[in-house]
Amino acid sequence: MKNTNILINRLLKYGLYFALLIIIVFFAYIAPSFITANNFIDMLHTLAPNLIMISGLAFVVLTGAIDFSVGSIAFLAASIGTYLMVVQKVPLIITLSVIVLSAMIAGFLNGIIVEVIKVNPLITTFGTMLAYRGLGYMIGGAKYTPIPESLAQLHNVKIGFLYMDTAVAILIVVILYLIQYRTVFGRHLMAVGNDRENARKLGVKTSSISIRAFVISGFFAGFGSIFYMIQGGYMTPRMGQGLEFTGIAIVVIGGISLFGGEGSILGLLTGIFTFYIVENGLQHIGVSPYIYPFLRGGIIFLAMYADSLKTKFHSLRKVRT
Amino acid sequence: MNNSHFKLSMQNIVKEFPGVKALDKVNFEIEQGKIMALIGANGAGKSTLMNILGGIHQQDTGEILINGKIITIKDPLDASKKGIAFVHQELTALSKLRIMDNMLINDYPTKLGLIDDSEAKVICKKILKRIGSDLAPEDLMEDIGPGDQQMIEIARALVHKPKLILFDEPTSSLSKKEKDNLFKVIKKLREDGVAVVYITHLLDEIYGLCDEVMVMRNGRVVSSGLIDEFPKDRIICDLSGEDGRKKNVTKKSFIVKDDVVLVVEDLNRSGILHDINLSLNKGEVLGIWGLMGSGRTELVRALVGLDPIESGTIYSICDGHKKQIAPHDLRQLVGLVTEDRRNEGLFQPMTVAINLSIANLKAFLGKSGVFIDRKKEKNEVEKTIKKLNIVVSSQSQQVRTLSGGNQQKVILGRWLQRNPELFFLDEPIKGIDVNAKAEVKNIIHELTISGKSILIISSEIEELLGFCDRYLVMNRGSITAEFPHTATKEQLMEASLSAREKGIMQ
Repeated sequence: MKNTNILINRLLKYGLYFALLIIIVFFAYIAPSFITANNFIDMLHTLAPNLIMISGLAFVVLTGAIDFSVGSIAFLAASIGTYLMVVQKVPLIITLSVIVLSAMIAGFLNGIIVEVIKVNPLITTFGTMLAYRGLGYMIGGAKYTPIPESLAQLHNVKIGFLYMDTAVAILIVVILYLIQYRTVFGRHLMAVGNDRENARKLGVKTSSISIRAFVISGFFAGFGSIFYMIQGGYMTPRMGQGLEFTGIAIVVIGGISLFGGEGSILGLLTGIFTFYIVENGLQHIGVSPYIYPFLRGGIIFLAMYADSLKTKFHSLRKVRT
Repeated sequence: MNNSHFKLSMQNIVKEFPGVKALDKVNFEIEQGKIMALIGANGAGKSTLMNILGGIHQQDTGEILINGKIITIKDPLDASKKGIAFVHQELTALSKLRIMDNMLINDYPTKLGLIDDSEAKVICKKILKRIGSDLAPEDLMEDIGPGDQQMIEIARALVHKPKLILFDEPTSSLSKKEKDNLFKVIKKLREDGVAVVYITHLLDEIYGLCDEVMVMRNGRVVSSGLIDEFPKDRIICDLSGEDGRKKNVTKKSFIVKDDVVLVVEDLNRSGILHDINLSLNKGEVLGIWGLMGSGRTELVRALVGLDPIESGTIYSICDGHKKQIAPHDLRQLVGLVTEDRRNEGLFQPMTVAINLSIANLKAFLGKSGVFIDRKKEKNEVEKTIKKLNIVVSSQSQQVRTLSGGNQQKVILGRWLQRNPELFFLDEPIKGIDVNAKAEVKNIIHELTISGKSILIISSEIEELLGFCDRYLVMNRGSITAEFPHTATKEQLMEASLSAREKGIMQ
């Protein structure tokens, strides 16, 4: 009994890696072009902006809350940025600062609504998801806008064998990991996610922690939007659309519990990798793209199911003896 | 810090919550090297008073002085800066973090802005050693037992080298051995020159531990002084007012002989329950006694299917027909009152009325058979509130604003409406005040008169004594002894302890 419990725990912990391995072997067997270094470097390049955009979201989920607005914050910040640099010809460095700053303000607003006005985070960010996107449309219109060459030319800069955005994304995840495990803020974040009421009793400033998590979430959404534009050379009306759901799915696949207080930021890497590798592999074996959303749904479901199983087995193990 | 003699006093403290005057001009004083027992029924205001000291609430009027100087306490962090530490009644564990995180959550040692884990470990080890605990700082909180978690609460309080420590019913989840250890630790703190306030319901605990006593009732201080001046009956008298003792129940037996209603045979759950056999008679109060961790709660949970069982049979006997019954189906027949009433039993944010009627909604359906007949519901709820003497402002008061005793009565009332033949009561009188205890026991008593059968678990052995028709002693998941209603405290204690030693020897 005890042994099977341990086995199940292990399986839930490392099951993802198994699954990942099987998926890779499967695709490699069918489509040899899949298992080339170039393909993987390209894939890492493609996913990098999204990874940056959702990296801060992981902090919000660690506190046990949720942020549906990351995609819209990215869109809004980029809309403001595009307006400044394309229409107003504002210098690049100022534009980039404003992008990041406005994204942080949007995140701060989320935090204030959740913590001061006390609206449920799900409702709050669902509302701001619509509102921020609407604001973005009002500023930039729903059109494709090429970004200035000075910025767009960065798209094929490489650091070693990795594209710049890939390197930046990985660096960000490592820094966030350090923050999570080696700073007081990080530990407080985990404490709030563990048990908010208890954390408050212990003197953790729970509201402040939660607001800061939302600000960080906004910050990286904005920061990521810059790399999104660099990669495509365009500001697009679809930027960040759907990211609210795929983002949360990736976070959960990466082992960060939706119940809060559990999981490592490093899980973001495995999470996003799993998500993209399936799509990339399917492209290589030439499956109809119409099947992707269905599979995405399936992956999200499996990840959530594993998350709830994990919690279930934990509470079973905890039965007082 | 030892130069100045530490002394804290509170003067004319008033605190009002919506609708209640929780504290009415309370004066309080404690100095270093003293342990003061703070006694009072639930709702007497002792927790509120301590919450003010701990910075969780702020007083409306009145002053707090440390060594004669007026201070304000803004929040818990501020309290700990001023040398006041609070060990809460409910564990404030962050279960998925490590022990060291739980202890140092606000006091991490840092190096260049990053947490220095190895230094943190050293700090924690030192404090844990001071209270005689050999827990490893890097273990997860969820992997240690409630007794050890309580020790961590105390260890955490010591991080700030406090001059005053408030203990709010710290023994409610501890075994005898853990309790003794705790008392040792508290006495050692006194020797170190710490002032201790000890809140408890259990009068027996304070003798031999505390130096001073303060008794509160209805938001006021009734009496206070040296412990020697306060024999037990005086405290009880002060606690309950005049009529408190009249309500004590004298038990008469209402067992219907040879009318067994429930039989359990060879129930097993590996590692938790072993070969449980028991039977329950009509009109019987069957007490299950065992130390913390003996499997009492787990037995009840298994019987009603909240935990899985691996083998065993349960029979319910109705009108002479013996019928095998699955745990899940048994749950439908049983009025179940769980130990953790805060989380398992009650819908805290919902109203008293909804909480009372929830288990019996079918009975309130109107003619249509779809909608609930509010009038019917209201009448029935009103009847229950009256019958059980539940103190509420109205039916629509939120349950979470009620005192522990009244919450317990709501749970009981819920089942009374449904009128099951069997009741499983897990710690029905834990953490409620003297009067409420007597009232709850009265209710149980009346149930047996009407032929109901009761299975009751309590960790307060005195409360069980003379109240049950029969006792089963549990230990390490087995039933190890059975006693008739004449059993004494010593007999029960001995049975649970000696069996325990045997178990260890194996």
